[in-house]
Amino acid sequence: MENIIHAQGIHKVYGKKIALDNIDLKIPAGRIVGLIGPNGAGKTSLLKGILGLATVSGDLRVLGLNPFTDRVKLLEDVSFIADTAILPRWIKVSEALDYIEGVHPKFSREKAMGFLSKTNITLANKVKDLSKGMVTQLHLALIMAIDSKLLVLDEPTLGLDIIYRKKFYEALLNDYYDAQKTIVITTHQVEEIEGILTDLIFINDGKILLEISMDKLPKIFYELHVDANHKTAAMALNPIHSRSILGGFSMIFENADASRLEALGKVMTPSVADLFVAKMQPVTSVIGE
Amino acid sequence: MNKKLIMTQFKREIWENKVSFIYTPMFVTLLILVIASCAALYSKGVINGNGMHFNFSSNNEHQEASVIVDGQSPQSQLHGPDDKQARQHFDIQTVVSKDPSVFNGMVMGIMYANCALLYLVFSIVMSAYSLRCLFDDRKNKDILFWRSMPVSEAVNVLVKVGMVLLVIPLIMLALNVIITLLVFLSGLILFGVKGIPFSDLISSVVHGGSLYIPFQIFYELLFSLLMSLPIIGFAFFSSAYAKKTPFFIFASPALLALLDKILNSLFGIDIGVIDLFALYGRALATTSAAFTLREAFVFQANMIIPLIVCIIIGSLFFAGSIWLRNNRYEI
Repeated sequence: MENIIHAQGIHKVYGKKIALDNIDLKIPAGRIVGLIGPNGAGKTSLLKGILGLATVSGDLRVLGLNPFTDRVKLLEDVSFIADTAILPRWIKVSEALDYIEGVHPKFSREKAMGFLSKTNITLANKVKDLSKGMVTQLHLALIMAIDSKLLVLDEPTLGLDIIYRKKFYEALLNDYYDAQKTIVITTHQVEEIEGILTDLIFINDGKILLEISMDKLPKIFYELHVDANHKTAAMALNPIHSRSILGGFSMIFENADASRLEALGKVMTPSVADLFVAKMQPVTSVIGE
Repeated sequence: MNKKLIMTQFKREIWENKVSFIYTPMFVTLLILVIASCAALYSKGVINGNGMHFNFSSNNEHQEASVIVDGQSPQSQLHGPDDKQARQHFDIQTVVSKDPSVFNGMVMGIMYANCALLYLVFSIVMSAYSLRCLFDDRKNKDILFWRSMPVSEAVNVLVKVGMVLLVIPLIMLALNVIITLLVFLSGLILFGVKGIPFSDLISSVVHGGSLYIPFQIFYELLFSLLMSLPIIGFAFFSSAYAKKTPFFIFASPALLALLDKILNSLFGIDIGVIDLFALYGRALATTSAAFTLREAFVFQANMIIPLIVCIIIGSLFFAGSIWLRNNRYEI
């Protein structure tokens, strides 16, 4: 399958800080990729590079184009929401529709009107009169009405309440996504996107810590709940992370023998949030010892 | 060139700045119309032959008008202002009936009053717009939305330049034409009803130049804006460059001039900043008739080189602004 994003040896430095440290990345079409990392991990730098908003060194191709030099052409097939509530406050909904219709060759006004009809937003509304949740709904309606091949969402639901967050991801999945479209999402609220992701990328200190498809995750990572009696035996199997929980310990293993783990306690697939913590805080920082 | 995209970009600028570019100038024109109507109805008008010094006073005790034609006021031939018969002879209709060319002066005078106020308003609007148009979207993060659209920074910046160089003069032309036509048509009806021949009134305005003057002003405005391109361009550049306050960058040449002055007076060192400003000042002085929108302005051969130099300097600043928007700024 053709790669929508092809990055090799991507490097970015801000002063003395290395934002991206020789990153290699391949994202094929039709995937929903979660780019997860702590603050300052390099997520936004990577996305800025992908969107042509910043220069990066190395070989970066998005839809076969150089994002920085071919930014305008690229944006005909790439949409992004860089942050919530960043639509110009003065603009009316009707003007926003007119504007995108005028400048974007792949925008469908009918689609946008269809999405907006499911909300309380009217054409006469100005952005400054809308709540933050409604601005996000409007922004999403505008972006989803563009027939793009790649959608990049950088913390799209930051600051929204749970109802709007749920609506956001439902709309994204039901009204936008299909096998031809690729979505890259960064968020801190990993538990909310876990169910919609096809691929997972963990990034920290400018390096990719984990790149895995969600299908493969249960075959590689295991979470084991053990009581204090089996703790030593479990630790001998080299968990990548361990923490104390009520009545025992929770340990995460990578490429371990599942049958040996099952003999020690309850085995399950770790959540993305737990896996993220495990990767960020290796076993050397075991809690409860 | 994608015409639809360019037109949409212009629309965006007008939507964003409709108060300063549309509503305020329209209010000014409306205000002038209301004042002129009130003055014509309730005041004493003093009109001279070419209409350049048209004015009203609001003394209701003396509802009369006088006109100076060929240096002589009809008032001098009549009785005192308390005489009712005299007042009738001095109302505007009477004056116009005696000399229809006064009608042209009246139309032109009101148009010039409108033009002068619009000139003032647009000077402020243009200065503010040039200094903030490439800064505000970065400050309030709107750029995150604009940059998600397939529009190049070259188009974005050039459309903003077009707003200053083309849209402002066109709005001024439109409003000047509208007020000219409104005053002309209402005067035609008013005086026509009073029995003054239409042909005399129309002839007065056609030969007097009232209908032509808005276009002359448009041309002078375009010319003066082109001569001002180094200043406008630097304002754009300051707007694109600034991280906090574009005005401080825009004002920096004044500091350089001060430094030049100090170095010159203390050490005899001339870094040439003041000379450069003086040179530009002289170039502007040769075209001052255009800046003051005088009817008599005519383009002359000695203005060609200063004009070309100003266009080149301004274009370099605009190119620098585009480069900054493309390369320096990162979201």
